[in-house]
Amino acid sequence: MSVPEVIRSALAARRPRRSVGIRMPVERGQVWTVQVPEAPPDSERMILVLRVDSHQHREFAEIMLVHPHIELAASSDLVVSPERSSLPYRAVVQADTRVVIWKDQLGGLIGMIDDVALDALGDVAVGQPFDREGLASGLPLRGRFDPRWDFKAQEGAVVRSLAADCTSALLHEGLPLQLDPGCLALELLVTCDDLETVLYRLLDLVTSYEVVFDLDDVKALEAVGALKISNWTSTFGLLGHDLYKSFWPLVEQALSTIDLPGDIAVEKFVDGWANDRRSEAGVFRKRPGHHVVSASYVSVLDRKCSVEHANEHGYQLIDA
Amino acid sequence: MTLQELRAEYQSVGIGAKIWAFILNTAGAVARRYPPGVYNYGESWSDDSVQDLAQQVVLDRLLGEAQLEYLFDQATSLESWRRLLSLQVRRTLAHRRRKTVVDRLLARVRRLAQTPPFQVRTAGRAVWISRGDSSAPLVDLPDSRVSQLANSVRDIPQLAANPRSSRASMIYTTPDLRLLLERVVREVGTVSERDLARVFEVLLTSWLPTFLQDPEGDYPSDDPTPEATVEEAEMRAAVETFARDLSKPERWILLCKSQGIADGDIAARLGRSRPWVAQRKQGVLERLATELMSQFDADRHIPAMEDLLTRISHSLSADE
Repeated sequence: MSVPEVIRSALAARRPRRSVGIRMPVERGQVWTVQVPEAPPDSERMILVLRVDSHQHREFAEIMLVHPHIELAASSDLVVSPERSSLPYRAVVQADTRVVIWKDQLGGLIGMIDDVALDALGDVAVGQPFDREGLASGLPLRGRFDPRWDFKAQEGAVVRSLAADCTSALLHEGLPLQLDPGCLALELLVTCDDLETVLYRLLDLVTSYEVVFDLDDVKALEAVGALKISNWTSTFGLLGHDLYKSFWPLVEQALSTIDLPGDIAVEKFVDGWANDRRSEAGVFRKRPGHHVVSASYVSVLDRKCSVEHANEHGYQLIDA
Repeated sequence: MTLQELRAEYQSVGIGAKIWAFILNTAGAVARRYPPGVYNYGESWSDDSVQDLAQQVVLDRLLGEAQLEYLFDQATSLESWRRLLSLQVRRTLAHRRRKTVVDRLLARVRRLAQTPPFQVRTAGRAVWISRGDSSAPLVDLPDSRVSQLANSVRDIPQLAANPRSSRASMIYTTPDLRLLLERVVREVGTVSERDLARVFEVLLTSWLPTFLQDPEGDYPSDDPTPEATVEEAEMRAAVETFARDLSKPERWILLCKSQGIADGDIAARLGRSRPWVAQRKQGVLERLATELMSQFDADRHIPAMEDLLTRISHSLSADE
């Protein structure tokens, strides 16, 4: 069967691909293939390496998921054109899928993206506008009925599966998560730039990770109006309903625990994060032995400063 | 045939007889599951039209977007290569459909631009639209500017339609299309029809058929059981009754909220205050939950909502 002439002409005009060494050490900016655990043996994905480090003599990489389907790019994604990478096709780097995986999970090296694109990823991650040649991002999700919503949900599952082992070993180290009640303050939530992504992350967080509320959290949630299902449904519709239903068992669990007498109560403390809060976010006290997840929108600082501030405290932000 | 054989041909000539035969075969297998009225310009699928589709897959996707390289970067078996190729065929079909929608919008824009304040200019084969008093230069927009433009008009609601339906959709009511055009030319002074098409392509995320969630390319899905058919009919009847009782502002509120549009923007559209919209929104969402969704199991909520939005959109466009 002969190849049509029009295709042979197009092949002749094709530019050769820029090569990358196959034996290079793992470095920031590289794009690798990776096998997704519990998926069919031939279902590989692409990832971008952001950082390489080690933990107890085992190397790991901080990564983001990459795909080539530019139609599905959202505002939390950076579309990198071939002029900004050694890849011959446009790559969509998903800034909202930043996780850690073991270095030995990496498959083959297929390309690199340049420093300008890596810098722009920082802007995309914090929702800052950027204007650089060869780079773009998509539109924010248009709600639950946007077809990209289901795709993002699938990507969330992929990234959780990829990172489960390494995350558990490195980040949580068996410690439960303390969710800042201010994250669920509806008045503040509605001001998010990319509300759907934040709601989806909150849903993912409370259903997939060990989040623990205590009685003070429940009081704080009540103060910010988060314990009324009607507030959630009237503000966010069905998704609000789903989110409320997902965190309600954690509230029930907190309510069913016996309040400890004052002398042996868990000591909480106020740090800088608790001070720089909007009044609508309610009260926050850090519990020892927990990893804190908060949000930039609970802070009175601008988004960039609040991200830096959270990094100083080692807190994760649901919207960055 | 093995992946190694395909890879050897790819490394030697790009696309030779083996790869071309594989592409032709896959294009035929996928295409014949798609209705030709929507995806083949109204003509039935013949050997010639499958060959046309296969050529389009090669020229637009495999070579035009270098997805051939992605296939070989990613595939680890002949089966995974076939699956990735099927996805490219489905993407090509999805773009055919979206192109029809964009072409229809551009034809309407062309008509709108014939009257003030717009002005149409031609330069060679390119058509440019500007405000009558604009002296902006005729320049192509970079990707990032196209993204920004799309972002600046994303608060204009799109009418929902079943993406698999063969029925034409307006996407925007005529006043909204005029508003979109006004905003675009206000931002950039002059815009080419080609760049306007790119803006529409970014905006039309809801017209991306679920090509990623359809691994076998089945179209339409398997025949439903008699019970499912009855359930479906009951659901549609309930949705129809609910939709009929909605006031026009309630329809706009539901449509806009399904697309993440802010209360303030809806208020401006309806000529009302934001609290008025917030109150109506709460009322209609409560009715939606108690009068409609409570009748169905949770797994029917999304299809019911999609059906409702399609009906609402149809009635809003009919009101014009």
